[in-house]
Amino acid sequence: MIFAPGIQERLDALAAITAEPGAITRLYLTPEQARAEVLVAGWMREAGMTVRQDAIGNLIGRIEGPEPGGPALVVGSHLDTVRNAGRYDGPLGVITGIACVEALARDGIRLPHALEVVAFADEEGVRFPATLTGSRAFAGHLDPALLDAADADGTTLAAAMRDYGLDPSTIATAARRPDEILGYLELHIEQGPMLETADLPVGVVTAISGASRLEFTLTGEAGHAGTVAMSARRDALAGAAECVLAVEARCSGEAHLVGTVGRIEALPGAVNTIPGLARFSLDLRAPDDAQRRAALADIRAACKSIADRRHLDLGIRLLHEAEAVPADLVLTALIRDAVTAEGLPILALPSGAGHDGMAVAAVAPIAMLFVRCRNGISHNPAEFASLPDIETGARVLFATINGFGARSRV
Amino acid sequence: MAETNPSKTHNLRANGARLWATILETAAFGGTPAGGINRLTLSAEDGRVRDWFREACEAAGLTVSVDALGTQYALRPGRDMSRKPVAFGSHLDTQPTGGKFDGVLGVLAGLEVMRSLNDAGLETEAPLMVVNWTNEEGSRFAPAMMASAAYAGEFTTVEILAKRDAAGITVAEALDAIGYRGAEDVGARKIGAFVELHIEQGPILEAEGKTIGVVEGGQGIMWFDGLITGFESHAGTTPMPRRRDALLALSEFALAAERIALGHAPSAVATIGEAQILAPSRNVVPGRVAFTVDVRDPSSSTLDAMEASLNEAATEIAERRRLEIALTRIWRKEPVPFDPAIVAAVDEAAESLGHARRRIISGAGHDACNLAATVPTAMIFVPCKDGVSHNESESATPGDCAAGADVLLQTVLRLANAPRAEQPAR
Repeated sequence: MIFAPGIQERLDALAAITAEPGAITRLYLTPEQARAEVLVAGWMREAGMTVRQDAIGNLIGRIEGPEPGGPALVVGSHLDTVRNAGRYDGPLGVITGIACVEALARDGIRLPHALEVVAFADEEGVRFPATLTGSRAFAGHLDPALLDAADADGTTLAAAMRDYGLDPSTIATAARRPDEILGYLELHIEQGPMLETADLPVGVVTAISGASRLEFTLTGEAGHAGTVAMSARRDALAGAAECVLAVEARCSGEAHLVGTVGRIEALPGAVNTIPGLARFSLDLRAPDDAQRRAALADIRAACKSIADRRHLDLGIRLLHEAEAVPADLVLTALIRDAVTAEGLPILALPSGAGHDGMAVAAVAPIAMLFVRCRNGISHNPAEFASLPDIETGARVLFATINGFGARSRV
Repeated sequence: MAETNPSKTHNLRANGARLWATILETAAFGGTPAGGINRLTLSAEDGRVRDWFREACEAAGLTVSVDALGTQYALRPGRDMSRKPVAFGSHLDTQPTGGKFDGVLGVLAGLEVMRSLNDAGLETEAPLMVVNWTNEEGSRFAPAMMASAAYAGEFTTVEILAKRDAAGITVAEALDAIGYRGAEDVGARKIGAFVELHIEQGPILEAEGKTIGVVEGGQGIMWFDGLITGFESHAGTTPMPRRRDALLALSEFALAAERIALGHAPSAVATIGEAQILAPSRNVVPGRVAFTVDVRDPSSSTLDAMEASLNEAATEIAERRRLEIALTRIWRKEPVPFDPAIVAAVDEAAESLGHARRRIISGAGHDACNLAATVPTAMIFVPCKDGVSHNESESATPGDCAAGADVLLQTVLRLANAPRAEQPAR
């Protein structure tokens, strides 16, 4: 194995940088992030890259092509983590990118264009109420209003940036122009079970699923659990139970459509009181926007009919909607060729999870490569990818970069 | 002094207007802007309403004593003081956002019975006693109905005195603070029969246009704690068939509980009152869900059958969804049948007054349910608006309150003037 042992060593070194001893927690604009960046910047420089930090805190390593300042192929992922995270989600893509740059130098390959490795500063959005902060600033569409958003301690993003040594008034300078970027490639663990089920080390991402996030509120009538006959009840939680099952039923028939109720609240919440109010979240995702919209319309209608039958009032609030981002066909074809060259069959799958590529797609074609992770577990200390799988992933990424260069030469 | 002329007693009515006035007068102790009452047990407000009650009883010529748990007993002598008193009453404490009738009606109607008898110059054979039980509601000190349970021997006085509220104050300290730790031993005061007038706290009487509920007993209650353990996973990347979603399992179980209760209609009820995902996140498939189940029915064997069905449902759901459902019964209170003779007395009283009535089972717990273990007991229900209780908007009409007081008065007269041999004894 050429790539994997060195990559694993660096994953372990990054995992040691944490706000919580015994766990991995590295949030945006914290001392841990600063230490991680010093480490990663060092690896980038060792690989021969010039390194800079942009206005939002992303770390960018670059090797020039024949034409200084010319457009670059960008490889990247993120360095921030969720609380009590695993060691692969994010860092694997950054470290593998740097390993590819090292391999280019080792093999004496000169690409016909610049190559950048980007370590995005905030993908997970754990600290502030927004995700993809780093890549959205990179793509030039970070809402400046977000600078006033506060973390749990009341520190605003702007204040945290200043404490970190960044100037919030300059975030626009982090934006890249479409003519600066040839394409964006991201290697990431799958965070799901499909590759494991197919017994394959890597998979090619077809699209990053679009998502709808909603809040449903059912209002009935609270009452005494002992005195109100079943037939006279307007039990909001019983209605919610039917709605939750309707979500499952609607999403179960179609591939890649997933619907999740992750939060539920029954009020007033006493053992001997019939719930008068139930509130629940819905997270609905699909790689095809029409598929997602059709499912959402059906779920709304099903909940409405459940509410009507049970004499409950139903309120539905749409909190967030993100369109699906399809992977670029040309970049994806290069990844497919590289996978085929490894003698592996192609598993094409959507990404149900969000990634930096969603934001970068605004300024560049994007594509993603998934590496198998054990039991589909992520955002958890048990997150694991094997050395052979990391090796295969790195080889495919390296071949894809070379393939892109070869194509550009023609 | 007084007489027991049957023709006079049969025509006797309570003074409904005076009863209504006392309900409004005492509602000021802890009254809320929304028209309810916040009068937690043994609070300063509770102390003030107790003082008011003692003074009113004494003004009516009653002898008031207080037991070691603060329960007030106001005695009106009978012709035959060797007979145990016929007692009636309820409680003057309320929920933090309680109404003006829950408990209050039973105590103040009891006072009104005494006043009406005084007005009529009537003496009864057995003595009469109106009782204000300490802490029926249980919202400050658990358990609810602690004083009547101690009276019935379910707890010792020492145990109850040591119970603490959320601020760490013991029942003993709270009693001392308002001067209501009495000298009398709990349970020392023998009672021949007990009748409690109460609002229904449910919708049945109102829906059927009945004025009086002749309460035959309290239903049995079971409480369960449930915990479902599935597996947390990513909401975006975990295909639907691979999920072990604890909330989906709870949803199926909740609907199963509903079906099981409906299968024992119309008496049985089942309620999932609390449901909580542990470590919830909108983009994580729920791994663990905790919930409660409250199951009630007047029949012990129906409770058994429902428990078996709930366990079967839990097992089936757990197996099909590849997760664990732990359902633990944490409490079971057997159904309480009231004394047939006392129930019959209530029924006859309601009939003699010409009130539309029906037999009914109490869905809620009451002090009478505790008393029933050692004293021949029954209850009288009157309708409350929309069945709403434990709420500041709790409402009952002056007419229904007066009707309830009339039935209480006539029931008490029947019991207290019954020939000695017929007095129920246990």
